[in-house]
Formats: sequence, C-alpha cells, structure tokens
Amino acid sequence: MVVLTKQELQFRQFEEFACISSGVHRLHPAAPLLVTLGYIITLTSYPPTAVINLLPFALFPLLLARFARIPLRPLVKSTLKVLPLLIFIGILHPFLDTEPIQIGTMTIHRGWLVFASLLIKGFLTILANFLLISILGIGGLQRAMKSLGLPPLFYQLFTMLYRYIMLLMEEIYRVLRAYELRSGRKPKLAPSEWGSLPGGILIRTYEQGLRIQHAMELRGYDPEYPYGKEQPIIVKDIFFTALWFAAFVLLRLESFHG
Amino acid sequence: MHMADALISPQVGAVMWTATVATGAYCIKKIQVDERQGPVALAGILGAFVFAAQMINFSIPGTGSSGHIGGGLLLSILLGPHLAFLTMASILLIQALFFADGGLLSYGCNVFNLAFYTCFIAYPFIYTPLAKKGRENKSAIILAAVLGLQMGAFSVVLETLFSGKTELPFSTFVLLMQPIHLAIGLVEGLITAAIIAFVEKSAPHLLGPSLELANQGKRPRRMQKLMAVFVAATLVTGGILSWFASTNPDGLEWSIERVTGTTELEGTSPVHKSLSAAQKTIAPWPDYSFKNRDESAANSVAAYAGTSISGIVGAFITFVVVLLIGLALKPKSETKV
Repeated sequence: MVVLTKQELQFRQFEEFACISSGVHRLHPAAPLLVTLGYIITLTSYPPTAVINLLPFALFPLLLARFARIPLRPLVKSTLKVLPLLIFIGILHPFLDTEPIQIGTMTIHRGWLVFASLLIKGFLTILANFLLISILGIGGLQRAMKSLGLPPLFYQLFTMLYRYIMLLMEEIYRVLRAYELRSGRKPKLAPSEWGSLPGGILIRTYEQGLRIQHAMELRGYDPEYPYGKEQPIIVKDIFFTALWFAAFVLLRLESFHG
Repeated sequence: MHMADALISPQVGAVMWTATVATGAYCIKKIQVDERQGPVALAGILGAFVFAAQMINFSIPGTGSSGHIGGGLLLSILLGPHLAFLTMASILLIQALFFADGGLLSYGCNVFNLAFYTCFIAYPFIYTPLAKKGRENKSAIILAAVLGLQMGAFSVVLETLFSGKTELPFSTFVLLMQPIHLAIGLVEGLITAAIIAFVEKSAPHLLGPSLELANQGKRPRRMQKLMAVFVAATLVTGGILSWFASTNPDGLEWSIERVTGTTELEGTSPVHKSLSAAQKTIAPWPDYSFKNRDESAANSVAAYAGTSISGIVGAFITFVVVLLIGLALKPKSETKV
C-alpha cells in the first residue's frame, strides 16, 4: 500500500505542471530563472513602508501563469499555507512602531504599513518561486544550473538527492506506520528510541548509498563527464528576459520619481 | 530558521550569495583535490535521508512538543564537512523551491546560517577536538549542535538588521531568537548524538572510513587547539572586553585636539562632504555602535550589544580577509596532492 504524504503531493504537483506544453515551458530554462530572480530583487529593493507601489508587480505571476497555462489557484493555495510564518514575524510591527503616518484623511501607525508591505512582498516572492519550479521542474532546473556554469558535482548531487527523497519518504512513512500500529499511540518517538529507529534507517540508507555509488562507478560514472544535449539560447529567450527586465526597471524607476 | 525573501534586502542577499558560492567552490575544489571524486551518490542519498527524516517527530519529555533531526552535523560526521556543506546546500535548495522554506534571494543567507557554521566552525573546532569514543563523543555532538545553531540564529538577526526590512529592535529580536534556538539546538544535538551512538554500536564500520575521509589533509590537532584558543580569545576580547575600551581620544586625535581644539577635522570641499555622507550611510556601526535613533540611549543594552557585535563581526571580517589573502598567496604546488 503506497500512501502519499503532503510533501510527495507537492513534489508531484510541480512535476505535473512542468510537463505542460507552452511557449514559456519551451524557453531556455535559464530565462525564467533569471527573470524570477530579477523580479524578486526588484520587489525586495522597495523600502519597508512601500505598499501601493508593489501592487503593479502582481501582474507578473498572473501573466506568466497565463502564458505558461499553469492554474494559479493551487499555487496561491500553497503560498497561503506558508504565509503564517511571515505574519508571525510581521504582526509585532504595528505594536512596536507606533509613529503616526497621514494617508489622505486617515492616520495610521507606521508599523501597519511595514506589516502590509512585508506580507505583499512575501506573498508575491513565494508565488513567483512556486511558479518558477512549476515551469522548470527538476530537469529544467538542472539544465539551467548547467547552462549558468555551476559545477557538475553540485547539480548532480542535487538531482541525486531529489530522486531519492520520494523513495526514502515512503520507507520512513512505512516504518512510522508500523511503529504507530505496534505501539498503539501517535508516531512520536520516545527518547529511548531516538537512536534506534532513525539509526536503523540511516544504516540501511548508507549501505544502499554505497552500493549505488559502487555500481555507478563500475559502469564508468564520472560527475565531471558532460551528458545530454545542450539547448541553445535563441532570440526569443533573450527577448523574453529583456522584456521582463525592462518592465521591472521601469516600474522601479517610476516609484523613485513618484 | 529559514529566512524568507521578503525579510532581506538585495544587498545582503548578494553578499551572502557571494559568500555561499565562494564556500561551495572551495568545497568542490577540496573534494576534487583530496578525494578525486566525491561520493556523489552516497551524499545525495544521505541528504535525501535527512530531508525525509523530517517526518519523524521526536517526543520531548515533559513538554508535549516534538523535535526534528538537524542535518548539518550528522552529515559532517558521516561525509566530512565539504561534502556535507554541498549536501546541505542541495537540501536547502529543494526546501526553498518546492516548499518556500526560504527563498531564491535569501538562499545564500540560509545556506550560510544552516550549513556554514555547523560544517566549518562547529564540526572542525568544537566536535573534532572534543570527540573521543564513548561518552565524551555525545557531549561533543550536543555542544557542537547547540553552538552551531546559536551562531546561525545570531546570523539571522544580523542579516535582518542589515537588510532594514523589519523595524524590530535588535535586543527584542535577539531575545526572541537565541533562547528558542538554544532549546532547538539542544534537542537536535541529543537526537544526533543518539543516532551516532546507535550507528557506532551497530555498524561502526560506517563511521570509521567516513571519519578517516573527513580527517584527510587536515591540520595537526595541536594547530586546531591553537585555533580554538584564538577564536575564544577573539570572542572574549571583541565581545566583552570592548565594553571597557577607553572613550578618550587616541594619540593622533589627542595631538589634533591640542592643535585645532577638536578631535575630528571637518573637510570643507564638496568631495570631503560627499565622501563623509556616503560613509555615514554605508557604515553599519558608526563609532562601534548601532545607528541609534535616540541618542540618549547611549548606555543602553543596545549600545553594549552594538559594541560587542562590531568587535566580533570586525574580527570575523578581518579573519576572512586575511584567510583569502593567505589562500591567494599560497603556492599552487602545496594545494595539489
């Protein structure tokens, strides 16, 4: 019996979105990566009290999701699940920063502006992050790392880790379910079992890892050896990147003058 | 302890990205030189174990809450610090992209806070000198886990402070962060110690080769002890003794005061003025203290904290600069095996 955990569902959701066929998905993977990075840098460069100036930036995830044919609803749902952490940090501001600020006829504490700005920035950057991985998937991300000149040792380690997460999560889930059924209580490990249960899985994992490592080396594996076909950077990749960068710069400059 | 993108400024993000990339490049070079080929598959699978093992809830007696496994130290013990750093960086990248636990811009900060201190300070300077077989190994792991996490938590406070994205006062933020991470570090240390003790008992051959691998090409232990003494002396001098530093002018300022009647000469040219304004904006700790809105709070806790931090961070920056100069000047033949 295979039972999916929440994390596995999240992984599968992004992998499924990455399989969609659209113009954005066919771009060179470095293009959406750089554009998303540019978007996050522009957003975070705004001062802590900026609120109104941030709103036009909501267009980026809306348009990109539309072009990439990715439904925005599940991504927004995943984003909202992460936001409580930012709310926890931000909610202190209205009480700590009570400097009055006049907005039209209203006077509010400066802390509320900081809180609102933090939430908007947090929501948009996390949404952009999820959108990026929905476009690239793990394969696209690896190709982007390769084209940006990252050492093969790093991106192969990263891909290897990703590939084994699912297997190990299923194994740990089975072990925890067995523990729960035998102990007749919730799967919380008592201190006497802190070493033996995870330690047992670790030993099995280590030995499995060594076997795989040796098997790969015997078949001539070398992390430095290049493989796969390089996707060339073409005009539409440059156009896509340049257009978004220009939009971000223009919006940022506009608020400098405004 | 993962920082979100919204909490940091692009400048801080860029600096921490640079530090992380430099450390990553150093690790890759070290793995290639020392071990020819890093056991990539093994590291990837152990990294996946650390990620998946977050599902396990470790019950903390008497509190009703639960703790989770911490990866940096466990991976350093099993794989050595260089490969552990890269594995932690991979785990953090997956957490950032798939679960928004951290972000793209704050990725450098998170790798530095959660992997650098554990793999390159707590592991070589706290765990390795203290680790011996038996009971002492356990206390070495707990101490290394606690101090590694404390350094990481403090780093989060500093990065947030420099970013200026939140208006939380330094002392409030420190008081929120350090005690909670002391408890988390203690639990993570106990869990790691229990797992390593079990592996040591049930499959000691797994720890043997990995420890040998980790110790390959390392400085002699006497040198490590000397380094530990210097680090401790720096922390005490920069962190505590700096409170008692004289506020009287130094020799040069005294001489200038005798001639002109003031310790600091004001430049009158536009170049002097613009450079002075730029320095005031850039300097994170003018006169070795925080930029206080309220000047009357000079003797407050924040003023003492500012002096301590400027002492410790200043010493750390000096150490990094000297280390980089040393690495640049090191003859190439010595680095190759």
